Amino acid sequence: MDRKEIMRAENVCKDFPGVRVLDNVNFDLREGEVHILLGENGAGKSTLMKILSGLYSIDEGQIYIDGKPVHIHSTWASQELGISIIYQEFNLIPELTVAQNIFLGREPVNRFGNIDKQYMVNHAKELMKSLNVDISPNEKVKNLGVAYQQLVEVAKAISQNARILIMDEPTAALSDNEIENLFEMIRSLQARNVSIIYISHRLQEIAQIGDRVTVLRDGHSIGTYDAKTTELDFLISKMVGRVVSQRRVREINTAREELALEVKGLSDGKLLKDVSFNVHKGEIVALSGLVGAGRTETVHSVFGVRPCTEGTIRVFGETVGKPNPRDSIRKHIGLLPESRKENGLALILPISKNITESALGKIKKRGFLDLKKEADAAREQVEKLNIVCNGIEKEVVFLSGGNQQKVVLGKWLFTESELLIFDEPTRGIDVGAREEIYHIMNDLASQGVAILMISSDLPEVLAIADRVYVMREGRIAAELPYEQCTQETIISYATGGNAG
Amino acid sequence: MSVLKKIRLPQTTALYGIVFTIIVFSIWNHSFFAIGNFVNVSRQLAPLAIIAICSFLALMTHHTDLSVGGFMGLAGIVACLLSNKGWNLFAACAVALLCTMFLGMINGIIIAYTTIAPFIVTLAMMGIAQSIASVLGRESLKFANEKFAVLNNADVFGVIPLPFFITVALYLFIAFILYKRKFGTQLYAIGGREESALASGINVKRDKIIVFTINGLLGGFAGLMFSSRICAANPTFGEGYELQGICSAVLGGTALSGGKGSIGGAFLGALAIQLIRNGMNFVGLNSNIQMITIGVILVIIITMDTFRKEGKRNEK
Repeated sequence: MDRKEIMRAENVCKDFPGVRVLDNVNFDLREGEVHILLGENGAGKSTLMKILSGLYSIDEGQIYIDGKPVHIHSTWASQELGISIIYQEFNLIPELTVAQNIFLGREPVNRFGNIDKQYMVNHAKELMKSLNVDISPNEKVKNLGVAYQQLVEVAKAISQNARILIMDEPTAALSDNEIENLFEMIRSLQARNVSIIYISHRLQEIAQIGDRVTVLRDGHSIGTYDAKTTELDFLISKMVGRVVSQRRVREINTAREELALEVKGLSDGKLLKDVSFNVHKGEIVALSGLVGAGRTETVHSVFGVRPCTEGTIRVFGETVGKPNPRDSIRKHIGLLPESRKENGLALILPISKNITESALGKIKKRGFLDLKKEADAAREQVEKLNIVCNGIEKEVVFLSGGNQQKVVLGKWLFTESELLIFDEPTRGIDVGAREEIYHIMNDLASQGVAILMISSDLPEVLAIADRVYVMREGRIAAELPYEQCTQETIISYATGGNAG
Repeated sequence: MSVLKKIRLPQTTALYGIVFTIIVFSIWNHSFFAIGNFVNVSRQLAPLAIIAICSFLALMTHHTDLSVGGFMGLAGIVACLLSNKGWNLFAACAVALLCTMFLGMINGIIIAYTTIAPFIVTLAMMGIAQSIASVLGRESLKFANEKFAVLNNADVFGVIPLPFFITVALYLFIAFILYKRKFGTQLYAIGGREESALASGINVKRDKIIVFTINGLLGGFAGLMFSSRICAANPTFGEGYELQGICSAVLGGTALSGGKGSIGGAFLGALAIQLIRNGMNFVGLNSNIQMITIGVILVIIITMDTFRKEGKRNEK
């Protein structure tokens, strides 16, 4: 099916002081296609998108739209050319309404120059209807859930008559149901001849929604391939430049007899109902389920960040009355939270301070901080975990996602945690770093550390878990040993497709 | 007029504050609860209420403007000097306003184009404005032309005090801009989430310059209203008004973090604070005690604002 070419980037180069971020990148987009852009963090995807959306300028090369050379000199110019972009963090103003957000910056005015609120509301209502969404145009965006906010962004793009829609990690914060809805919407956009550039780290989506996929690596465009027929392993190898397969990382189950964590009948009166599970020393246990099933809440209750009304928690054989983080840390439990930038790290502090943060007692000397011990501790973790950085005094905010996660892990390893709880261990982390983290987890388990892992990434669960608990609507729906796990079984328990 | 509908009355402390104040002081001294007194309050309200607009606008863009108090004093001094030299009152006032507007614009330019904290910029400007005023006019100056007091004493239609009339008119105008013009939406967007506003093509720098220029103008105007009450000018008139303006706005529901608030609320907040001051004068409280009381109230208000926000966050 030969679709017309609608945009082409030819030999595009972009320099920042000291580094060439894009080097002769070639990329073309056909009308009505979903073109996936694949690449590790730092490969140049977001730079390329910022060029298309008018935030950056090109240093060399040319961009063509409908065959004609164009110069995208501002965000306004980009919009005029029919390019719209939906960022991962959304560009909505929370206190303003849906209608106001859709028309932000382009408010319609009547002949006196006053804002035509009626027109805005009517138009917004129509757009919502055409997207099959039932939201009032006067609802403030801050009151909407993530999936609905995304729809507002899509409506905004349609209202701007976008012909090219760039979506940056659109499914990162959506549940499986919502992802299906999103794909429906994307297909209907395709039917309207809208072309979509789709950036995602979730490899399973490539064949699901993509037509073609282009791989970027270190600022170069490596190649463009058919999304439906190309092997994932092949694409991954192009992304990282080495052969990496999606096979099982964990080879031997090193679970021991002793229990590290035993939870019975946990309820919180709101979401969690009678949750019971356990984790052995040396074992890797995964908590699967849909977003909102109660996995994070369970884990937060165990660690003590969240109160519970009923249930018993036993940590290394000792019953815990009312958990709280200080005690949990003293009992050698470590929690790597879902949003590491917000809850796991002090971004403006350097690596050394982050690593020693939770066990300052270990680097005290007569009431003062022993900076040499602090530096040694940091260096030890950096080496053990292979953290890529320009020295331990570098602020954590400058590290890539994968390395930031390693710093969080280093913090807990420094406290000598024996039970590690990971909440989405590899969210937003590229394939190469993911492999490293899986190997680290595997090694830790072999040394006897108990690992409890929340993950929505099913291939990840299959890669390293020994046992899987599936949660649904606040309860444990199933407990499966690895041998009985397939993506389909887990999903069916998570959604209730099974009698379970 | 549909604009009136848009002046949302916020579900906040301001109203409670007003009612509470009236009750307390009326019990303390029955004469407080008299039309004559309230008319007086409405006259005295003008400077604070106008400064509250400045605070509101600045807070909406997530900044604080500490210089408006200084502009108050400067405008009075400039107008007084020129008018005492024989200038026409209108011309003298116009030049005074141009001066403060110009200084406000400089605030805006520095804040928009550099990363220096607006708190520091406006704090410095406050000092600069006061210094200029001191250099120009030493301390207390009297307006030779007594017609200047008309600004404070006149009554519109024979009933409504002119200062009150002007204040309300100003508020209605600002409300109109906020809710009916693109500029208003832009302000909410900038305060709500500046990066998103920028990405939507809003000229954030230009809008911030406009806000601080308006603050210069309004700050000067508030100073003129203040001076007309006693027909005198002094560089220190307006000291402390910037903080009271912020508290008026916060009392009325404006978030300290920007992007949220109503101009009507700022008015009620200013009214509440003005009533408190009037009440304290009425019952003869020592001026030091007055300062302490206002200070305590300000702390309580800000603390309540923080708790209210945290409460909302926990609810979600």
